Amino acid sequence: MQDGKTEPVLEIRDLTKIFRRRGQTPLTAVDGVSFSLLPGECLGIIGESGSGKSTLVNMITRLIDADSGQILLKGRDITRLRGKALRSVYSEIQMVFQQPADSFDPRRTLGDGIGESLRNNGWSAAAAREETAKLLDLCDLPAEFAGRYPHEVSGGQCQRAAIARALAIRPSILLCDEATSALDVTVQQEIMSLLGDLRRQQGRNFSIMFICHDIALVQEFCDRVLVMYQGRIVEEGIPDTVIQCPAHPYTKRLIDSIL
Amino acid sequence: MKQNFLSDHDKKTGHTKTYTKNFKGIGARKGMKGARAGSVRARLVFFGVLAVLLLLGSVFSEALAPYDPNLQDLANAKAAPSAAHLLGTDRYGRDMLSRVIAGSRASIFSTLLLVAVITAVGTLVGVFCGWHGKRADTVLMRISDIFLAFPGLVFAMAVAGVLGGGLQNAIIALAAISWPKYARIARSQTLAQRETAYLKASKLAGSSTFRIIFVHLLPNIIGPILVTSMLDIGTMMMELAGLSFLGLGAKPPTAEWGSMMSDARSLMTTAPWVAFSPGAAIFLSVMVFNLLGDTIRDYADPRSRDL
Repeated sequence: MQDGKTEPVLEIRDLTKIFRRRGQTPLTAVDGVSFSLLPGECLGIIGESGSGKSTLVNMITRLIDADSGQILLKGRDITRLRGKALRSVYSEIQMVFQQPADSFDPRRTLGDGIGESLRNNGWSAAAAREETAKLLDLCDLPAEFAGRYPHEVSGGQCQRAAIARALAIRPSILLCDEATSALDVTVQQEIMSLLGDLRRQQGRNFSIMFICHDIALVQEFCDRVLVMYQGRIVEEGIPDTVIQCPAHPYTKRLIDSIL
Repeated sequence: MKQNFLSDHDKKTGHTKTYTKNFKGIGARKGMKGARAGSVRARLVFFGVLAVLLLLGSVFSEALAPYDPNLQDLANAKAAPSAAHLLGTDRYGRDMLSRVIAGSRASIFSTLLLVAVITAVGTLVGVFCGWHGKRADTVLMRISDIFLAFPGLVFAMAVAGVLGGGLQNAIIALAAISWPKYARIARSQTLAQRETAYLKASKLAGSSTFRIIFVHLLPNIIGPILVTSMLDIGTMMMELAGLSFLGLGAKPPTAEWGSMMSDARSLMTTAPWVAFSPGAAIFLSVMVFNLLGDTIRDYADPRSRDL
């Protein structure tokens, strides 16, 4: 619209979530957040614990309901979808969780988890198995990992499998909610280079929202960064610019605390 | 004076005493763990085999019984145990061994059916409450509180009394009062699992709520529920026999251990074997199922299995 060339793949308009508990003052976790995600873009979101990053992500994936505002996926309002219509959204949006081992059913194999979205979308068991092997290969895991259980693999391997699961249905948006925070530094680098490779392969059909509290990772990896503080977006821009000349006092504090 | 002596004694020996105690404790515990790991498995096999034998006995009760359990032989009534009638005969001359064997079907099968029903119903209600939450949860849980607040057997007697006698009604009565325990366990387990990442991941994989609950949630919460139901088999067997004893269960001439004991009350002084054999049958089978449940609980607890 603005340029006439790039329609955002995801547009968030004035999204708000207020947690109300009896006997407590209501907590505004996300307060009128608006932004858009462009095709092929990698958007970083940084902020301290409790700044509303995870609430925002959970609203976008519709794991929790927004109180007000709109979520537009390729121009379609998904804020209030339910049932079957909502399930169709999940072939466009996928997510990688913070704790890799917890995100797989402890009683089922990794292969089951990776192929689940395929089987839910009408793939035959055999075809899903074949695709699972390809996905494992894409994420640098040997095919026999399909038969392993989550407790039998390391955190880094499990997170690779989680990425394979997220990619299975070929989504156009991948949300990484602190996807590398639970991993040690070398494994973190491997996961980041895997995500980088995926971006290069998929090009404009694949956008990433990268939620993180590590500014260095965001600077290295993201095209654009949003800084969240107390439920609001306080700053937005190219990572280098934001880090070199932060405009908001919170961003300054955040950067000072690291450098 | 005595107190003085005691504290003096403690002062003198307290230090060395605790030391040796601790020292012993460590060694003993190590040895115990090793022995327990083996014995849990051995116990599981032992009681499992006994339970299976009881089950087989009740399935093939007709073939196993030496006489027709309902065949009356008034000339031979109240006969003491002998080679022909190993456990004697009752007031109508019916063979007690045959009746005890035949009674196992009513007692054991009804109990298993009852436990299966309350486990299934309670679990479904609990999972629904835990998953759905909101008002339905509040209402159903208050209802279960009401059932839990009543003394179980008294309430079952009231229900069975309203419905009338018969084994089927006794089962319904006991089922009506016993499901809340399972609903409570299933609900708390569901609440604990509801926010886990793997259920969210399954939702993101496009799974329906039905699939999430039955494929992912239930297999992960069913362990403690099954252990509870194993432990409940003994209790339910006793309560069912209790209702029958009170005349609210199996109707004569059906052979059922509880009603057989009730029938033998007036013969306690003249023919005590008539009361003894069904009593012993209840005692033994309740004990076998209780110990099996205990063993399964120990086995399901990885701390006692892996060490």
